[in-house]
Formats: sequence, structure tokens, C-alpha cells
Amino acid sequence: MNRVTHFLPFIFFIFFIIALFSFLDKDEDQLRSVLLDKNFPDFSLPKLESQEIVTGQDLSELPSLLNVWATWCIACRVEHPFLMRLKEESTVKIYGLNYKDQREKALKLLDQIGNPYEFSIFDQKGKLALDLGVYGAPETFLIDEKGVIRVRHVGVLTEDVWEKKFKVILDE
Amino acid sequence: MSEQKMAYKFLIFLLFLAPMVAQSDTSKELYSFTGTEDQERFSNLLETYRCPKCQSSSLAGSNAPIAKDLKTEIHRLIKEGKSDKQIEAFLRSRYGDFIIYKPAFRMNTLVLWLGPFLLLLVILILVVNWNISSKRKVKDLEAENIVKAVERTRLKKLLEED
Repeated sequence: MNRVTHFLPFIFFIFFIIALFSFLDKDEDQLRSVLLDKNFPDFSLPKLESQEIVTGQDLSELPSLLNVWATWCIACRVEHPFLMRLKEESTVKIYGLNYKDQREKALKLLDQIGNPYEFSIFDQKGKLALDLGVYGAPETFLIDEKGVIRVRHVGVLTEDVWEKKFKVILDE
Repeated sequence: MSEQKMAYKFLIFLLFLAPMVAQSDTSKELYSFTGTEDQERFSNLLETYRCPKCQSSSLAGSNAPIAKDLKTEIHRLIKEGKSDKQIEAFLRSRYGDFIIYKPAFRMNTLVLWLGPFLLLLVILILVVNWNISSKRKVKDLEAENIVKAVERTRLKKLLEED
């Protein structure tokens, strides 16, 4: 008995270290979205391509991706080629959410590097982005056929992320 | 001391004063309220919420665009007459518990709140235990000594009787 109590602090210490190490693995940058498994928030904003107002009804081809992007967002350029590939290879439609940007600049950029989106929602004030809990760009949401947000990814969308986070849900 | 050296020292002194300029809080001037009460609420709220982008600073201390948006949003909500609870619900429904610096007391935060006390309790129990056992050892030793002394006198007596 006495021997066990002597070793208790050491055992505690070991557990503590194990607990701390297990936290190290967690991706701190990825805040868990509270919007997961909730309906996509209502919105009414102009299209980037025209002044036409779009609402949730216009995200009609579900399931689809909503990709938050901007011309000032460097990481968005990194994932751009992958989005172009998705557009070619995948049946999933991609909608853009142009976040706090200037219309001319955004359109010019899409002209230059290609447009992977069906259309982009022009969210200059970040209103819809705020409702989505966006805190940086790029961010990508997967909306299922019922209009429910199923996946949220903060950061560059890579092949690896696509396979592990998005494809799994789509294949269900 | 030469004048030049004095001047250098003065300049270095001025350098250390530089951070004082940074003290001015611009958020107060940007967001106007009709009553001072709302103004105070606004300032307090900005301290209680965390900036989602730069995760170790409050909304008040952050200049990230998202923090500015949230400030504007809180300003709007206060002006619309929303209560602190409603504002918290608004932020939590978008950014989750993370946005609140002080975690709520709920099942999944139980360890966070009670963990330190539990640890303290365990340590206290251990310390008391060790104390008792070491005291017992001392007592045992004393008892042994007494027995030895008694035996010694008995032995002495036996030897003397011989």
C-alpha cells in the first residue's frame, strides 16, 4: 500500500504528460464550427458577376461547395488550381463567396486565372461571412442536398483535405 | 559628464516613453453611443469576447478585420437595445463557445473548472497521509526505545542478582 502511494505523484505526472501530448496533435487553428449540421443561413446579396440579388434559393445544385475567397487572400491563390480541377473532375458544384473585396479587382482576377465557381456571392461587408462564422479566408463549406452545412474547412483546400474531410461525407 | 552624453541619455529615456503613445483607445471614438451606460457596456463586452482570428487577444485589443466587424456588430446590437445575453447568443451561434474568454460552466467544461480543486484535494490527501505515516514511524521508534530501556533494566537486574 505504502509503495503505491509513493508512486502516485509519478503516475499523475505521467498521465499529465500524456494528456498534454494528446492536445499537441489537435489543430488549434481549426475552430469547430457551431454551424455544422445546421441549415445554411439566409442571405440576400448581389452576385459578383452582375448586380442581380441572390438568396439561398439560388444555391440550387446541391450538394455543393461554398468557397470563401478574395483577391487579397494569398492562400486562396494556392488552392485555386485545386478548385479548377474539382470543377473539371467532380460533379459537385462550387459557389464562391467573395469576401470583403472590390468587384472590379475580383472580376479581373477571375478573368486572369480562371473561374471555378458557378457564380460568386458579392459580400463586401462580410455579412453572410459573419453569419457563417468565417474568420479568415479561404474557408470551404459543404452543403448537402437538404441545404445543411456538413463540413467546414478553414485554410487551403488540398487533395488530402478533400479526400479526408469532404469525400467521406459525399460518398455517404 | 559631457553634454553629448547627457543628450544621448535623454534620447534613450524618450525612447522608453514611446509606448505611452500607444495607450490611446481608438475604439471609443469610433463607436458613439447616446448614454454613457451603453458606452460602458460596449467597452466591457469587447473585453469579454475573444478575437476569432488572433486567438490570444480580446476584441478590444485586436485590429484584425474580423474583430472590427464584430465590434461594429456589437455596436449595432447595443443600439438596437439587445441585452448582453442576446449579444452573447448572437456571437455563440456563429463562433461557438470559443468566442467567450470565460468558459461556461457545463458538462464539457467540468474538468476545466473543477480540475484544479480536484488536484488540490488529491495533493492534500497525499500530504496528510505522509504526515500520519511518518508520525507513526516516530511513535513506533519511541515505543521501541521504551521497550529496549525496560529490557535493559531487566537485564541489568538479572545480572546484578547473579
